[in-house]
Amino acid sequence: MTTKIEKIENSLLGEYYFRVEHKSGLTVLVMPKEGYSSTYALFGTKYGSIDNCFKVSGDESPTRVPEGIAHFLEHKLFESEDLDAFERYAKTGASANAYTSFDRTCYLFSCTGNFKANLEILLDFVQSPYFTEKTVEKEQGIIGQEIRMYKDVPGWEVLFNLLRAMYHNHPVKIDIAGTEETIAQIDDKLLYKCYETFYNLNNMALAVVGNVELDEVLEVCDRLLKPSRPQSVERIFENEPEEVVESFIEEELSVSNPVFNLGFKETWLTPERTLKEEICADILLEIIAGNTSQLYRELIDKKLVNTTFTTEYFIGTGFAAKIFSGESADPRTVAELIREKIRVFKENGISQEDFDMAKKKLFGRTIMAFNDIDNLADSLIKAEFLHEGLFDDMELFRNLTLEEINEHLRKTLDERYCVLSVINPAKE
Amino acid sequence: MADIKTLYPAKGVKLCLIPTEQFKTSIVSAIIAMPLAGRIEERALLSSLLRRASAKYDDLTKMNRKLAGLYGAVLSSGVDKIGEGQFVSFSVSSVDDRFAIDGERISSECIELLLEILFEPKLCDGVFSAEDVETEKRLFAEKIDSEFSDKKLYSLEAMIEKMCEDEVYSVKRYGSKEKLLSLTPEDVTAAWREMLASAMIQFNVVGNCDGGDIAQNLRERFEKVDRSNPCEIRTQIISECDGEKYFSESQSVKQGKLVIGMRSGMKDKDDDYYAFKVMTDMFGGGPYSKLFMNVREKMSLCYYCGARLNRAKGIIVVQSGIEQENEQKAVAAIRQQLEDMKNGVFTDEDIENSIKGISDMVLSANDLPDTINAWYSGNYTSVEDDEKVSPEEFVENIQKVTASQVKEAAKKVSIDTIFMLKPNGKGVDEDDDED
Repeated sequence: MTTKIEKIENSLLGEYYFRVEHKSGLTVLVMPKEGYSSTYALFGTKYGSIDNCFKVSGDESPTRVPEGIAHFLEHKLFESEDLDAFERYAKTGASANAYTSFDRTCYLFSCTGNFKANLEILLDFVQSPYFTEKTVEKEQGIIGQEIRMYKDVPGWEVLFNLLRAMYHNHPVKIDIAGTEETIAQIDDKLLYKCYETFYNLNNMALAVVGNVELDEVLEVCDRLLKPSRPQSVERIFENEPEEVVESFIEEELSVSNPVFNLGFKETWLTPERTLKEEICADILLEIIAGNTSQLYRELIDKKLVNTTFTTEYFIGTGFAAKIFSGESADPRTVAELIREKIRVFKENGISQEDFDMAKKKLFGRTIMAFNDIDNLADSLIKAEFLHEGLFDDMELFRNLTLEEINEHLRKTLDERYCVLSVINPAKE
Repeated sequence: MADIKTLYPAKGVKLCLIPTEQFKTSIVSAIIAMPLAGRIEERALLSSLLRRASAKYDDLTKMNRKLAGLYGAVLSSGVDKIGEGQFVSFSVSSVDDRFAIDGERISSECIELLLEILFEPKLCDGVFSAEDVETEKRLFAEKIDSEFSDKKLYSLEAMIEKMCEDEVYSVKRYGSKEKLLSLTPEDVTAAWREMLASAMIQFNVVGNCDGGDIAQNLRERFEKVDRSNPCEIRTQIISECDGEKYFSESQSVKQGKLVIGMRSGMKDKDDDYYAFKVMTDMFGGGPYSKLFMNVREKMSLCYYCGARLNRAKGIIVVQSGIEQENEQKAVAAIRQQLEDMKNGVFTDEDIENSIKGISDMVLSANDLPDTINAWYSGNYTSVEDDEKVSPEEFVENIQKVTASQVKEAAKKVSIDTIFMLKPNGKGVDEDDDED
């Protein structure tokens, strides 16, 4: 294997980046940004909380692992026999962190100096697992408190209740960090099994954005990346019906106002949503419920929502939903008004005027996002895992038509697959 | 960093022009500061009422559609408490003119929009519309209510209220909800006029736009305002506490929240500030800090445990989320780490690491128009305060901090108030039927 380098440019933005297929199997994305003081690096694997049943080539039967293990693994990877990664970063001054989502785990740092030393730490510790019985036990207390913390966050609980009411089988419904019971089942052997399966460089990508040159990244990569053997992993997902589990779910928490999520489950033939589908959905949600919409105005005027009202296209491998969320004294009426408005849009179609305005707004916001190196590194990894390019959405915006938005509207937002999740104030 | 040009379009009004071509966006902002007294609730309400509509864009939808048409320009507003000052701020950030498909002058339109919001609000017969005031009162009251749902924030506020009960600082950034709900359009209108006349005001323009017109524009607009007597903000700093206070509260939560308020010992916001900054960071800043290393990593008591220095008020606050049964253990461990700081139980390398960490963080403020704007607004406690320290100068100062300074700073710290939000048992394990 040799290393292949491609330069990808966009003249409107005046930006470019390099996409490198490194000989080790890793895809490396480098985006130099002139004038920036800091550099942001993200080393990610396409592995998250939903990958809890899989079969590696050569294995006889599938392996099912405890809920929350991807996140547990993320915590533990920072440790090594010698200095842990945080102690090593402390010497360079970088800020380091990591996160686990439904379908990704990423390790990151940002720094204004010592870039190469920091990149060495990042590549080294992510490639050097060290788990023992004792260190696993220690982490259970820390993660146990992390789980508890989220149990008191209404915005988090309302979403996971929604997902549990929406999905019969898809593991998106399980908490990313698992539960105190499931993390108690995790041991060093299971961690090694998951590590070997998903931390294969062929399943990973590195993105570096900011004050950086391609050569310095490649020099460190050549030195530190240990070639991964090719392997195939089959992720096993049970079949997910189109229907939701239940259309209403509620819980009590210590909150002042009720909090709600109204979600519309979508079923697609392919597991991943393309950038184009994502942009269509974002424009559609902006038109239906953005702060320029009639619906938004009506909900505010009728005292039904406040400025926390917002929308999201919630997507990942094998799941997709449009979610309307906010605080309301009367979530059921809000839900009814949203559904009513969708019916009207479905009947009459979207107007050219609404389409043009939403497109202009989101086009501007897309350009704005090119200031922020954290966000760019994240977008590079995300696009790479979808086999798309960072600048593809600029072209998509240019060519998008009203008819495509109307078609997306007809295909989605089906009332039959709609769930309302509410968190009500507990009696103290 | 580019040269910053500072102009004074009116008495007590400062304009900072920060030109840079590095970004795809520009930001223009106004920071309006007054003491945390008088018409606090009115000004808090103005932060959202003025954002809602102007004379020209006279309802919420028209305003938002105008912004959408400016390629999704973002108009934000807020109210903060810094020391014993109340800071109302507005900003508009937008993409550069070079991205305008139809040749619009986006950035000058955004500057004009910000000024319209402040100087030409939507008034009916000289007062704000009763309907708008009522709507914004409801929205603001709900924002206040939702602070109860954020237990980290709620616990912090509860601790501050107790710790500073005899100080102006115990007043919330928006004052009291009851008073806010009783405001009339006349009250709010009077507060708006008073604010323009007597607040200390700073405007920032960051980006690739010609801010030249804005100075003249501001001069003309302020000519109609009596700016003869701008206010001053003073903050009472108590450097020593007499004895420790403890109190707790029960709610139906699953995790306990521990908040410890300390007097730093600083006499004013500049008193050995850099030493206190490094000391607080070593004690409870990043993952290399004593609190993280010991309370989280060694003792596995929590997911987060950190300390922050509040420079303007001279206090340090430690926050952690723990099991109630571990309260004593956690408090003892935090005390022990503070004792270690006082006794100089740290190495030169620990200081170096902390200085590197802070420097790295501070320098990265140069990398976004929003953080540049925030940086040059953040130290704003007096209009005469012309030492706008740049991130680079800040780093120079922080690098001079020595071990003995850190130790001396730590020795001045004393614990004032401990607050514990306890689970009342109702919120725990009620979700066993899930999964």
